[in-house]
Amino acid sequence: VALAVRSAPAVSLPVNRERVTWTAISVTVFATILWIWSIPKIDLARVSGTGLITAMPSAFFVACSALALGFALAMRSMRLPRRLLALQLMLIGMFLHVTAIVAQPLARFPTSWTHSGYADYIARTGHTLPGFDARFSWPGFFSAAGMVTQAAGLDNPVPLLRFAPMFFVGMGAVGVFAIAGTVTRGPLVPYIATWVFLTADWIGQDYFAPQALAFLLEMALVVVVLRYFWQHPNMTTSTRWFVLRHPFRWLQQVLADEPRDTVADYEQRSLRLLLVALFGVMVMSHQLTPGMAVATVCALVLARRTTLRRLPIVMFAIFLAWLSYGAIGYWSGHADQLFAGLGQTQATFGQNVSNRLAGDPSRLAVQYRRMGLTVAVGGLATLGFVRRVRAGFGDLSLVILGLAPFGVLAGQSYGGEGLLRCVFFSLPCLAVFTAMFFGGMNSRLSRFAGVSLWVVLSMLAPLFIAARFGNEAWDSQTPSEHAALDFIYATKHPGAIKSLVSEFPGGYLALDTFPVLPSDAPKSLVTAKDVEDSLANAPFDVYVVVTRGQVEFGRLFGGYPQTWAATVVDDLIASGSYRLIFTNVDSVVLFRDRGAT
Amino acid sequence: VTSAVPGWASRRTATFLSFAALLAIVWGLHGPIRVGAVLAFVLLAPGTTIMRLFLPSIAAGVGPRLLLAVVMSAALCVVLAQAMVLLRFWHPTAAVGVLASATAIVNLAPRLRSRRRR
Repeated sequence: VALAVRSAPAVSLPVNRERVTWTAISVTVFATILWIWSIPKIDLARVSGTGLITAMPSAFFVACSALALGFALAMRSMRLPRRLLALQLMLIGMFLHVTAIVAQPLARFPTSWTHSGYADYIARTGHTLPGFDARFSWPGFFSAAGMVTQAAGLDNPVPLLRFAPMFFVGMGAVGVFAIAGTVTRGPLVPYIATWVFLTADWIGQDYFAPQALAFLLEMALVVVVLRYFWQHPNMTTSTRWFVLRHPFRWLQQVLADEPRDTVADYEQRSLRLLLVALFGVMVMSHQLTPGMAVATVCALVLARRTTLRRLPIVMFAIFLAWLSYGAIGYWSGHADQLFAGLGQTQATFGQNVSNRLAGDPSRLAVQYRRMGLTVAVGGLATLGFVRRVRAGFGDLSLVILGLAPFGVLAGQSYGGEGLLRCVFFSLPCLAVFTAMFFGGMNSRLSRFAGVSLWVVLSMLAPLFIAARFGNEAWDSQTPSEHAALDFIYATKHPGAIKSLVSEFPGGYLALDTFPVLPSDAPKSLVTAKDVEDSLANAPFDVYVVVTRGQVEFGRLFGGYPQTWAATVVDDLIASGSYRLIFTNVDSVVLFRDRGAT
Repeated sequence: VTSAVPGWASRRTATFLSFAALLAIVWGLHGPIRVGAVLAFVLLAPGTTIMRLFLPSIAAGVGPRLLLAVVMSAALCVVLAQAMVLLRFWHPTAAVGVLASATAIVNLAPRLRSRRRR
């Protein structure tokens, strides 16, 4: 972000560095010191069913509020202190997103470890395993990660897991800054939008994952389309009954965009090629994002907000080409999975919302906080939209950017995660409209707007920690849990690894020797009989791994009793087919050789 | 056409990153220096070079330019790696070495250097 704003044109207002700027600098320094001081005071032992928030010291939240105050003060300066604002954006990004990474002993989020295993397999062999997991049918991200791992001289991609969230969050913030700077000339809007994005992005898709890269690709595509292929709507002079005679044109005028830059023809040719290339990479990297990109561009074309009329056709052709060639291993034989969700909106809603509002009361509290944060930002964005319409700009292209991703829900529930992904992709739009509510076209905030902004940003920070790190009971990883997996890898005795629930960081090494059997999600293996049935026909040795994270997931997500996993382990050992080969404070490993069945 | 290439995306930076990655690979370094050099190269240098050559005047705001440069670099990595997987020709270290060499050559080539001025 600092790089992004460094050479942005300065607002030509008279002034020297006034007192308010110095106050903002002082408050920022104070907030930074307080944040650094608070990090060692994070007590991970106090992480509970409501997540990381119970482990955070109050000084952390004071630091966030102080930084928000410094941010609001900087916005009150007569001459916008761009470098200070950029620094503050970097700091809030670190406060909210890096603190948890720094405080924890291992990279968080089990799925990132699983992805590390996929990249590791490609890095070592140069092949994919399309029959092993659907994600191998869209292997672009894993191939690139494998290539970088080898070129960087790493034994495996695990060291990249901690770096990935910082990179993706940082670039996501740059993307929002770029989108905000594209759709409006209001000088404050990009800064506020970036802050709001950083505090509202609780969905947590910015880990070592294909969708994180695909999100950046989609944002770059959107920036190019909105900035360089923007079409000025046909602004006809209003006549009597114009609204009734031409409602669509009237709506276009009401929702007019701000005028944008144009570029030379030869650069437009390069940009067209770039768009096709970006979409091609997106298609070979992730399943869902191309659908959202196609929906967004189609909507922009239909609303006559872009000159790229043929781009959706090209995108659709690329999408189909990859599906027919690269992803054939996924859909051949079970195409029903691909199209089963078509038109099943009620079922999709059930999978995405109703099924998530279940489990332990503390888990429900987290879910309600998440919904609260999304509704709060959505409400502010709505106010921003109303303010813009009253100012003569409805920003239809931005509205499309926020709504179009939800179109994919008509065709896919995405395993109950579709709605989350749609909210994630609409966040840049919500952030920009929220920023427009506070900033508008002003070059500095009024006193009232400054105080309002400070209060809102101060409230968003704890809400963000509660929402984003609400799953920390099973998202965080402990060395003891990984000791179990390291023990299995050290045995060098090939066998499949099986977990009781899906939230398990297995398979981050040696996927070919120690494959992780697919989880039985959404069903957990809650009894020994479930486990035995699941492994009944497995013609190989099996390691059953039970970790602290799995126990917590079952307890909080499934509502099982505290001792559910211990009972399963005891019953499996009592069955005689499984023997205990490893145990420590956070994990248990059972072994079953193929002769036992 | 006026250029809006900022300092971080300059020819010198891209050349430096290319040589740093190349040297780290050729010398067989291991550890944070090589990781840092290779990551910085693959995430920034190819994209900034492409933008400097083909899109010198777009994205006067540095936000879009940084986003596009990084995204283009990452996209190039994905294409390169995926091509190796599909062609069953998996030589990742050599591929990044060749990419670094090509980036350095493109940035050092006199004709290409002067193209923007013309």
